[in-house]
Amino acid sequence: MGYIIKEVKDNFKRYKFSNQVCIWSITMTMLIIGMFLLFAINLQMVINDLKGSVEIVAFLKGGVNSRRVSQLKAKIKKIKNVKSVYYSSPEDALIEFTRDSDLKKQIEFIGENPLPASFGIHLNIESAELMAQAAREIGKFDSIDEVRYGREEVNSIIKFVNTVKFGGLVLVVILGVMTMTIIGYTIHLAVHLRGQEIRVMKLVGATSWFIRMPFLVEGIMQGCAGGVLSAGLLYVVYRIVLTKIEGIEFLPVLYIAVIVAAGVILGLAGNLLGIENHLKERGAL
Amino acid sequence: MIIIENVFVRYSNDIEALIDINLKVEKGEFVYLYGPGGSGKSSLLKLINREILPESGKVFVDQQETMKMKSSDIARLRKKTGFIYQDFRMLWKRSVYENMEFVLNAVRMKEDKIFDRICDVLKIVNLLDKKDYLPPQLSYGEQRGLCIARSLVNSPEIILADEPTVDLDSHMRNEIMRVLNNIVHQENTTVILTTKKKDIMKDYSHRVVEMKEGRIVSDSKIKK
Ligand SMILES: Nc1ncnc2c1ncn2[C@@H]1O[C@H](COP(=O)(O)OP(=O)(O)OP(=O)(O)O)[C@@H](O)[C@H]1O
Ligand SMILES: [Mg+2]
Repeated sequence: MGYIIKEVKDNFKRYKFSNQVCIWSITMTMLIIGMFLLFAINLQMVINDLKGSVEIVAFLKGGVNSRRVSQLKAKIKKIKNVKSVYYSSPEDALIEFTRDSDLKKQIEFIGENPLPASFGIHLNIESAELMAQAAREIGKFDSIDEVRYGREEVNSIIKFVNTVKFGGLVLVVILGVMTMTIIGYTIHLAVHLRGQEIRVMKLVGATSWFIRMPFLVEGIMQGCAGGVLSAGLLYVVYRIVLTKIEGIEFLPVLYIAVIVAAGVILGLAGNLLGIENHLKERGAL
Repeated sequence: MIIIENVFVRYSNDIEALIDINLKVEKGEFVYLYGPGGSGKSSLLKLINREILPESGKVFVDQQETMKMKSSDIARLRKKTGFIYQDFRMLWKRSVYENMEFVLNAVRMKEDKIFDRICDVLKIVNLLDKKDYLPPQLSYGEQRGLCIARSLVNSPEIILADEPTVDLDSHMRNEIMRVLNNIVHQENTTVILTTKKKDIMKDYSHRVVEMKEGRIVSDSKIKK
């Protein structure tokens, strides 16, 4: 145990440059991935807002009493994919409507409230078909006069959301594979530079674990350092640049933990793969 | 005891380095492997250390066949073998002291004994005052000395010495030969030492195995 600590400490000095290269490449990789995550969670919020803005409006026939209203409300709530329902009485509608002062004058001219009561219904939309289906079901209730929603609007929002999600996924996969490959090879190369040393260690009788352990601990430390550095840099970037954009939020702590953990796994895996290659007995050279 | 039976060694470039080698070395024997350059002396030593494997034939070290060893057995074999490499095989980024220390760490010697042991051995090769030098900062002769010291430091049962005295001055050469002969007699260590020159064989009783073009051509005992 004392041996491992001493080795790791001394090796950092002995192989300062390659250690730095490994740490920085992990840092940069995780920074890129972190930025992407940051972008993704903020995009997700925008998407949620967009989805939330889509609503079905169901107008009621005149003269429906309040008991019937609450019955209807409960029934609508039970329909599949319906998230929330709110009732808006003719008076509510009037208030909403008369925010516009021109309209207000016209209404006053008529002298009575011509607006119907309505339900506003929010749904978990996954497709325009589901939305249409829900609208049809709501229309079947006999106290409902008319159901309206922006079909075109829903279609285009869903299309947009799906495109962004798919594009994001493709990008994540490409980015992930690319950066992991580069970093894997970088660490591999750093270990390879010590191949001669590893061979000599074997020849003086060191067991595989005796040689491997310091490398693994070094890998974990490199990963840890890289992960923490990248999280720090990400925060700096966020504070300096991104806070200028309104409504952008930083990654939740869990994501930061994931970034650091991913760094550790990268460092560990890179070192492990690199060293196993050198620990093999070759036979005749 | 080392037993080599009908061994052939072929390198990846198709060179046959050892051809039908049969050799038996008893524990506590001092054997000179004598032969010209390229005759296969180093290959024979590496075969015993299991750095290379035979294409056919068998090698036994203390009844264990090297071919069939697991990785932990290989490590154990090398721990009880001190190899003085012709090409040094140092840990170039580590100081003289750290090179020695690594070997003792690998055999799990107790921390408090390591320092004294290393100093004792470095004294033999006159490197005590250079214990913090890196190997590239040493002369060839000194690097050879370090290699010798490293092979001795964990008191191995077998010493495979590949031309250990080539670039040493005559005083140092006599000292090393005296040390090697001493451990053979006092600790029953087995020593196999390769050489191209007959002159270092003149002072002690020994066995001489002569090699030529990958074959053993003679095997004789000389008493002094
Ligand atoms: N790693 C290798 N790959 C291919 N061929 C090799 C290798 N090592 C040695 N040889 C060849 O094997 C033969 C024997 O080499 P070896 O080193 O055993 O001879 P040697 O007797 O130790 O020579 P020297 O006295 O010059 O050290 C030589 O022909 C050499 O070219
Ligand atoms: Mg040789």
